[in-house]
Amino acid sequence: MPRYGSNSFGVLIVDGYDLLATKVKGFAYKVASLMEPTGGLGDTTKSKGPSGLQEASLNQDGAFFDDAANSGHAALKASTAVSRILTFAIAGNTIGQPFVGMSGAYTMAYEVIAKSGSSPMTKANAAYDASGQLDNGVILQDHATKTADFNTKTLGSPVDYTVDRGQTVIPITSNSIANPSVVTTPVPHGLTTGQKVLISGVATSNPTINGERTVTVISATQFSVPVNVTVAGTGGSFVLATSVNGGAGYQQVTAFSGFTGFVGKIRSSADDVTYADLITFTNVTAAPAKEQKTVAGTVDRYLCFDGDVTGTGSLKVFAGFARR
Amino acid sequence: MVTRLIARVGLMYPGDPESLAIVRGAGGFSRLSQDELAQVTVTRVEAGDFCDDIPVESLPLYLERGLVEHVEVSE
Repeated sequence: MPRYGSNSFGVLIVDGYDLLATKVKGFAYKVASLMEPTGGLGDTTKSKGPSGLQEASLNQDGAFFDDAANSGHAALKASTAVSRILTFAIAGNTIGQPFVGMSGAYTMAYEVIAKSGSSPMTKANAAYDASGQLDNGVILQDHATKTADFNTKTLGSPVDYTVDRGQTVIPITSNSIANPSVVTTPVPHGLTTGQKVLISGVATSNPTINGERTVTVISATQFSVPVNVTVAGTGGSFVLATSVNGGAGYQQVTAFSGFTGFVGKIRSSADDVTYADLITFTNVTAAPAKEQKTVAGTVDRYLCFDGDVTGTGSLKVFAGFARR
Repeated sequence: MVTRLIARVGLMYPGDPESLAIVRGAGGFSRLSQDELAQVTVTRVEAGDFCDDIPVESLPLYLERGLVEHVEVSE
């Protein structure tokens, strides 16, 4: 089980402002499911039921107050009516590691605390309430300085959904002698017809059904795969190779000089050979810059980030994608 | 008139047969070693560009999704 310390907290960017530079001392986020009272006249005990709604809140505290240009105070002093884009990563600033993103984080409180004593440096705290979804995704471009066109695919770092730590491994009970072979799971598989899965560990099936397969849903615990199986298989498991509910791409540019433009793209691929544009972010001409863009439908297995700069200079950019 | 492939979105793929062979041999871009990456060239096209050299294994899915299309053009 991985464990993360403060040195793994790799990204904290609010509206294109890099807040890690202000040495935040504490950070917490919470997602709560809202309950509603379900009782009525005559009841003797209180009862509640889930409303189906969730709310998220975030708090950061103990940062050094910094009123320099493009620093913490500039990021946080705006009114509570400003909807912010917030991204953070607690498991390291590395491509393929998880990140959390939110569009719709409203600053509910911003405190500046000056005091005397053993810790006299002025500090700043901020609390956010969220309107909208908290996205759990994967880093496609680590927060890093770039001076020329770049692409994380050709730099050796496309991200493969099948190894995403957020995946749930679904066990398989057996697969049948049939064409197509019917796969039975001991728990609801949650799949949609046409979705792709990566099956592994199935024993005795001939031919094997291990590998990437497109499924046809039969029931909550059965689906078929297009393999003409003549000897039944047992065991194994699968993870998703595609997702079907779209997702949200996040891009934050925290520094920008010299260039006359920067266009970031998230690209996807089903076969890790040809990549197609999934999200194209708006041309950036200055920092701080932030954007979240959503897509609907199927998102393929492999993702990468492409940066296209115009002119000469440098910029610092972070990007990630969260499947929904 | 000839039939050509036109991209409806931006695409990236191996830029020549040698690069495609390296990528196929490794099982995809994500499996290339740093040495293999250094040998691979990449073709980038934007929406509206021709992409007749798109790898054949990618073509059926991209045609199905409308990401590339066959068009008739004058020779």
